[in-house]
Amino acid sequence: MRKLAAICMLIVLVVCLAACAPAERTARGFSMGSEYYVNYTSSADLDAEIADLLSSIEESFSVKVDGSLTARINAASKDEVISLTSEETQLLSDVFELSKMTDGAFNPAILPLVKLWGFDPPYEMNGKVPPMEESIQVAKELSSMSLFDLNTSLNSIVKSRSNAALDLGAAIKGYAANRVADFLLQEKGVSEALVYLGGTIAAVGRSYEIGVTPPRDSDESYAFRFTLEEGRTCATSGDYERFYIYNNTRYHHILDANTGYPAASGVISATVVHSNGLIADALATAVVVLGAEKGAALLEKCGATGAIVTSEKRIVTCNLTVTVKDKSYEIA
Amino acid sequence: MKLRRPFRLFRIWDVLLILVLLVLVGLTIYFALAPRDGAFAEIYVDGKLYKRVSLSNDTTIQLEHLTVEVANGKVRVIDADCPDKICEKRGTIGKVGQSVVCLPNRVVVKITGKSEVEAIS
Repeated sequence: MRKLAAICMLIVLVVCLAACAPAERTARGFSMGSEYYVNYTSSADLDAEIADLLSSIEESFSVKVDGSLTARINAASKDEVISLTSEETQLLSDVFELSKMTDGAFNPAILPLVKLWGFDPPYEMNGKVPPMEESIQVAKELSSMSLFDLNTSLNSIVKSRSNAALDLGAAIKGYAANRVADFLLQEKGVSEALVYLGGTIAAVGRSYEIGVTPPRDSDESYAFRFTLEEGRTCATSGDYERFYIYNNTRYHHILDANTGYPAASGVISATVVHSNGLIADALATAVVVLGAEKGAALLEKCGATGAIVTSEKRIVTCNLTVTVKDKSYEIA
Repeated sequence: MKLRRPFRLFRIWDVLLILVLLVLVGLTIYFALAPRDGAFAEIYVDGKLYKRVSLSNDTTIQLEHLTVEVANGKVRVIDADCPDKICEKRGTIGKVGQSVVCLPNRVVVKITGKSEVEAIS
């Protein structure tokens, strides 16, 4: 009888242990105009906390949310002093620094041009026609970081033109992916996780195999793959994400503030890996604007690695080992 | 003098217990490692799995705002009522890792199965 009781207890114990053991979980949803999913291993269900964290970041920084950092800046008039929280000042200071480091190739002040070209949501690309040259020049003048004066000691920002506007969309997903990764690792003790937010991916606790979207039509789901090391975030930008064709010319959403036109650098896709997601995201955009040669030099300078795809379907690797899947691409 | 029971390493209950545990371990390993052949289309609505269908069976799944069509091992979204129709324009997908996203309707259709990559950037 005692033996039977012991066996029963053992079975109960095994079942309990199985229930408490860390399980593989996936949190899914939408945030910042993108799909997100987080694969994580944890004994606790953190789906709701991940969703809350992402929506708080969206509310703080999305240009579309009233009262957000960018909405406040964009609604302000010329010379009005906009006070910032220390977190906002820090983020803006990082973003301004990145813009400077990339010689304006990453330009968060580009919203007037983005709107003129019609690449702001809801991304209706049907029947789009490029804007007139004169309007491009007007919007270009407005799309300058020099119109903003960030004061990091006073935690404030002032703009010198009322219509100047900021949009952190090109970098905020990297920032958010990192925030989720830090939350899981540091606050929740999650041992491993993959954070995916609209193509930006953070690796927590172990390395992950990542494929890169083929920038042109392909029979494969990815053009090439690489290993994203633990603690790193990767981001990919390309001319294939939002674009329209007019008179046989592709007009895509990554605009070059120096010309006022979509970037025509010969780069059709750039994947950048860095420990800081904000930097990875911003640099991916910058490389598409700068081109392969300057882009590779920029990655080197910023301590980033990556893979740049040119319009000839050649992959320029920057301290990153890639394995080609779609054979129409080749390593340069 | 009382006879001592001879020492035995295993008794009947021990053997039974070990057998039960071995079966449990075996089943765990089987379910953890069993190859899941063939690709599936997973349809998520608002982040929740709505349906999982094999790509080897042709079918159509009618959702509130769009229809998912599975035919010849491929999937596409048709009859979407969103303004941008980006999901329809994505065309057919059939490779593991590919997905169609309809942001306005918060629908994701994803091909799952064995793949060399764990995510696509």
